[in-house]
Amino acid sequence: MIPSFILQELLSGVTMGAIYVAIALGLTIVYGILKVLHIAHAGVYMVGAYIGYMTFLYTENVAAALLAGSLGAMVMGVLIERAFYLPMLDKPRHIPLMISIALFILIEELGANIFGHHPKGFHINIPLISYEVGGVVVTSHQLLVLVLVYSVTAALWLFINKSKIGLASRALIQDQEIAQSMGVNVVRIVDVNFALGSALAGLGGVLVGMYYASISPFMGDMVAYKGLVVIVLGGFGSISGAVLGGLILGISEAFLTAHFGHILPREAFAFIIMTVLLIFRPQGLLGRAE
Amino acid sequence: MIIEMYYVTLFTVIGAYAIATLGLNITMGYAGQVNLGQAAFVGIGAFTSAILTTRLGFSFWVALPLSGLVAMGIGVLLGLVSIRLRHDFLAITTIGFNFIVVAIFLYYDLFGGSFGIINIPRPVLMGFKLKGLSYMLLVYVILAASMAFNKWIEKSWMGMAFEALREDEEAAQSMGIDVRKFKILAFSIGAGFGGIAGSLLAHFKTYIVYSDFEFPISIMILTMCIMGGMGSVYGPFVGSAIVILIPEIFRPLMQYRMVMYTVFLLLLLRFMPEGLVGRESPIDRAIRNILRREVVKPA
Repeated sequence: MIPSFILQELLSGVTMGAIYVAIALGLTIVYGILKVLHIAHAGVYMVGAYIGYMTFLYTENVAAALLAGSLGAMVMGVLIERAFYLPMLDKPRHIPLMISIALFILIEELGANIFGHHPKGFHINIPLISYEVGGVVVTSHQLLVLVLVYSVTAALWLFINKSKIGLASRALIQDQEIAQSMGVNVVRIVDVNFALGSALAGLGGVLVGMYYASISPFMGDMVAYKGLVVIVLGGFGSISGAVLGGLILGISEAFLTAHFGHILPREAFAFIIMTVLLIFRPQGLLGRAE
Repeated sequence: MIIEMYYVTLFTVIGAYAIATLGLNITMGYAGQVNLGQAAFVGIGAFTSAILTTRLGFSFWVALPLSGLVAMGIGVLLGLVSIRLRHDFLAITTIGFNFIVVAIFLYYDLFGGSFGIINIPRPVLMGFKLKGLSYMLLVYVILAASMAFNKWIEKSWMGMAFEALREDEEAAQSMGIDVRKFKILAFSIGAGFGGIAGSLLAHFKTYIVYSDFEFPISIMILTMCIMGGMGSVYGPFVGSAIVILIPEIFRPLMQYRMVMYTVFLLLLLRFMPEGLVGRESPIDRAIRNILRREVVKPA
């Protein structure tokens, strides 16, 4: 029999992991298609959270807030792709990366100037109920995060693996030129992928705001670089890898902070786990060796 | 007098960052190895120098080279990691390295935790305390020596090996270049310059804290490197001057200063990704066009 405190830690790890998965799925899709490390994704996530928050203030409706946050993030993601990534693909690899980091800082600074530097309370009208299952306490808000993220992830996996656009996307990941010569409309497929990934980030942002009952212009800081850790853990460009990476990071953080306290902050933990893993498996957990 | 001090301060900082950028120029500009954690090496140099002088009573003139050496030693570690990893994996690992180093500065008392280290002594040369203008001169003497060293590397066998590494790693290896050795060298030499710059900054500000060396500072140093143009000896100084002076111009805009700065940075990266004076930059191309026109002039 596993002691219940371990199951409790596992649950909090899986919930945290769900949030990492929502961010990392977008990152990993974008990386697969464009080979750009899209740090500004975390800025899209923050803007999505604010759009969701403002929608909730007007409509008092959780579903509307989630939808609006995702849609707003979707538009923003495609705009970033069209304005900054597509024209810079033939430049050295560090240029799009720098642009992405500068964009992220810009979005944060603009956010802080427009929405104010201080966090805002985000209290939804779903009552916080705790259920006890076999000695483990689950809250209704945790269930909301878990059910939404993992069902959206399953839908995305089906879309990529079963639909025609998904097939074209996978062809693009393998070889852009050959895919193009087979009649794949590259720009349109890139648009679709950016839209999907960004919508997921927006959804993640609104969910994090609801789960912690607070949003701030700097909420992207936590996920900006950890999202990278997640996609590295899973091996770049694979959906199942991003899910695995998110879960590993969420669960190992939960256990490490529970049993070893705060020797180092969470960010450092994440990067130490990543570096150690990379030294032994340079292609990530599910990535193929070159 | 106050206005003069303002410029002396600005140009001392520009000089120190130019040295850190010269280091990055070796790792990235010459050898083509991505390093997004140069600020960590600046921090390692700064804290080494601060601890040696405030806690262990060393003189600045001993602490300065030692801080470069310590940074070099840790640079070897990152070089060892770089042998296993390539491109984006390496880029993310160097970001992670920056986060880990800053976390160590923050969490361990040796580095003063969140208070940092205060009362770092100013260097004394022949009974004369270097501060203000004289300290600025010291920084620029070291900058000039670093630039000369960069120039020497560019012309040396090592520089050619770095270039081969940058252009095509497999081809370099098949030509008999020891790729591992030169990757480690590229990282450790670059880190060493970062450490020296850190020591100079620490003894200039006399107070350092972990947040002075966070990841955005690495991005700032990388921006300097790109603005000046990768792989150019004068580029790092030009880049450092641009990146430090531009926010000063926007100072009256108060809270929109960072916004203006990042907008400027984005526009530069988007429309001038080769930098201002480096290889293939607009100025470089213009100069070569003029030269070519003179040569091709019909008789």
